Amino acid sequence: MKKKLLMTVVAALAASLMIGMPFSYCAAPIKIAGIFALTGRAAHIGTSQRDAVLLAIDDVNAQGGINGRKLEMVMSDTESNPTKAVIALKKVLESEDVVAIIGPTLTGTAMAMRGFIEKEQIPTFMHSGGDVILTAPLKKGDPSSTPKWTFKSPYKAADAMGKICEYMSKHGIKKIGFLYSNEGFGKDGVRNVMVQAPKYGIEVVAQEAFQPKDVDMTAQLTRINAKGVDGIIAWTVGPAMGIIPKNVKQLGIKAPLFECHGAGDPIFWKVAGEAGEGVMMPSTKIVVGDQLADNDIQKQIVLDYVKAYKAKFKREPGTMVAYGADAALIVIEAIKKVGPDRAKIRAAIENTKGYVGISGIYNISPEDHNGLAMKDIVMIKATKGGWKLLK
Amino acid sequence: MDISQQIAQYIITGLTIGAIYALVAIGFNIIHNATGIVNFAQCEFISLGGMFMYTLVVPLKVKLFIAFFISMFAVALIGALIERGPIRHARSKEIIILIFLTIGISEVLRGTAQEVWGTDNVGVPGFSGESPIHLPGGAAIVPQHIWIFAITVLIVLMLHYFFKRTLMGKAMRATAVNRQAAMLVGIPVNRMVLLSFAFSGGLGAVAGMIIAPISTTSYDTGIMLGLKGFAAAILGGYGNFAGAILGGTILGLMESLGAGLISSQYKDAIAFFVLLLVLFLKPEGILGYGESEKV
Repeated sequence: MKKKLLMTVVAALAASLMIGMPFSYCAAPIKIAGIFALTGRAAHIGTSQRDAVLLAIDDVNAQGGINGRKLEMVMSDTESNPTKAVIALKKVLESEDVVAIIGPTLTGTAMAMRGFIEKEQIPTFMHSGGDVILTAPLKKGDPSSTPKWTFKSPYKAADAMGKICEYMSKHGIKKIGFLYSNEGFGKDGVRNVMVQAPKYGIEVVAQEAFQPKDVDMTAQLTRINAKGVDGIIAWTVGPAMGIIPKNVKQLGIKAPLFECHGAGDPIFWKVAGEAGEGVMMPSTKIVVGDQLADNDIQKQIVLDYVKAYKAKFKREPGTMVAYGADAALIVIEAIKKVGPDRAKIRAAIENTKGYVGISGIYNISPEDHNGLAMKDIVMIKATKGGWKLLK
Repeated sequence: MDISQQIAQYIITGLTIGAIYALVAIGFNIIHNATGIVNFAQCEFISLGGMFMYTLVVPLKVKLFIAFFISMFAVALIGALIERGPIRHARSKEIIILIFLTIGISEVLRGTAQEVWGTDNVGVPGFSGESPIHLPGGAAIVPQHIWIFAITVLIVLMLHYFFKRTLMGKAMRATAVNRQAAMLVGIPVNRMVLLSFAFSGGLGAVAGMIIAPISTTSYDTGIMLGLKGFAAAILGGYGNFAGAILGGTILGLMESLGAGLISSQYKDAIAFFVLLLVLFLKPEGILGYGESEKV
C-alpha cells in the first residue's frame, strides 16, 4: 500500500516535471524594470506611481498576458537620490533581463540615469516632471545629442508653466514671484517660467529658492511679497507644497498662489490642511474626471481607470497616478505590438500616435518624446478637500 | 512692506527655527555629557515625537494636551530602552563603536517607522488654531510660534533648575565631569546614563511635536532637523548647555536673514559658512571650554 502510494507520488512528480518544464520555459515572464522613489522625500509620488504601474500589469496578466507570457515588474528604489538611482539601475540591468524600464520619479534621479540608459540602449519611460531629461544634450556642446531611448509621461513642464501663465494673463495677473525647491525639478521650473511668462505679458519680479526639506519658507515669501506681486508660483513637490500655503496664510499675502502640475494629489490636503483652500494648479484630468464635459474623449477612460484604481488600492488617485499609468500602458502596448525586443519597443513607443491616455492624448515622435500638448492640461483649484475644474 | 517689517519677519522666523535647533542641540548635549558619545538616534526621536502625536491626534482623536505628554513619555521610554539594551550591552565601550551603534539604532528606528506609518508627510493641527497674529513691527506669526517659544523657554528653565538645584541633576553633572569619581562617591552612574537617554528622547520628541504643525511631519522629518541641531550644538560648543541655545539661535537667524537679505539659494551655505568660520577661529565652539570642563 505504502509502496504504491510512493510510486504514485513519484509518477505524479515526474509527470508534472515533464509537463511543467517546457510549459514554464516558453511562458517565462517578460520582465520590465520599475524604478521609483519608494522612500525619501518623493516617496508619496513614487509609491502611487508604482501602484499605477502594478495595476496596468495586473490588468494585462488577468487577460492572459502578452502572447501567453506574463508580464513581470522588477522593482527597485531610488530613495529619491540620484546616486542611489544609478546604483539601482545598474543592479537591475546586471541581474535581470528586462526589456524596458518604467520610472524614475524625480528629475534629479532621471538626469543621473539618462547617460547610462542611452549606453545600455534600453527604452525607458520616465515619470519625471522636468523637461531637461529630454531637452538637455547628452554631450556637452552638441545640442542634437538629445536622448534616443528616454521618454517621459508627464506633460512638459514648459506646457504646465504656460498653462498657469495663460490662466494668469486671463485674470489680469501681471507681476509674479517664483518660489522653487533648489533641485532638478525646481531649477527646471525657473528656466521655464523665464521663457513662458514673457509670452503672456507677465513679469517675474522675484525668484526665491528653498531646500526641499526646509520647514519654513516665510523668509522667501516675505521677500517676494515685498516686491508687490499679484501672483505667486511655487514650483515643488513634497512637504513644501503644504508648508507654502500655510506660510502664505500666516503672512496674510493676498496674491493668489499657484503650484506645479504635481500638487493635485490627496497628499496636498494631508500636508496643507485648511491652508490649502484656494491654491490653483495645472493637473491631469484624473482628479476631476466627473467634472469633465460629456463630449471629452478622455472622460470615460479616466472614470474607468479611477474606478479600477479605487477598487484595488482603496484610495483616491492623485494627478501623478496618471503619469505612472500612461507610461506603463504605452510600454505594454508597444510590447504587445512588437514583442520583447528593446530596439523594436523603442521604435514602437516613438510611433505612438493619437493614444488616448489618462493624462492626455499622446502623439509621440522622434522630435517629441513626451507627446502631450498644452490642451491636455486642465487648471484646477483646491476646494474643500477636493478639486474644482477651472474653466 | 518696508525693509524694517521684513527684517522683523526674518528675525521671528529665525528665532522659531532656532528654538527647535536649540532643543535638538540640548538633546545631543545631554547624552554627550553623560556618555561622551554623539547619539545619532536623536534625529529619530524628533520624527517619532511628531509621528506619535500625529497618530494620537489625527486618526485616534486624542486631546492634543494628552497626546503631547503620551508622545513625550513614549519617546523618552524608547530612549531609555536604547540605553538599557544595545548601548549598555555593547561588548566594546569604545566611544567610536558606541557612536556607530547609535547610527545603526537610528536606521532600525527609521525603517520601523517607515513600515508603520508609510512615507507620506502628514499635517498636524496647530495647538491653538492657525489664524495669523500680526505683531507690532510688522511681522506675522501663527499661534504655534508662541507655543514653540513658550515651550522651549519652559524646558530650558526646567532643565536649568534640574541640573543646578536637584540632587539628581547634580549627580548627572557629576557623572558628566568624571564618571569614575562619581562612581566612587556612590552615584549610580548607569542610572544617570539611562536617565540622560530618556531626557534626550523626551526633548527630541517635544522638538518634533512643536514644529509639526508648521512643517508637517513624516517618518524621516528628523534627519534634517537633527543635523541642523547637531550643527547648532557644535557651533555653541559641544556639550555646553547655554552654547546649545546660542548655537541654535544663531543658526536659525543666519538661515532666515541669509535667505531674506542675501540669497535664498545660498541660505544653507551662508549658515554653514558661519559655522565653519567660528570653528576655524574657535574650534571648541563659541562657549566651549575644551575637554576638561563640561556641562
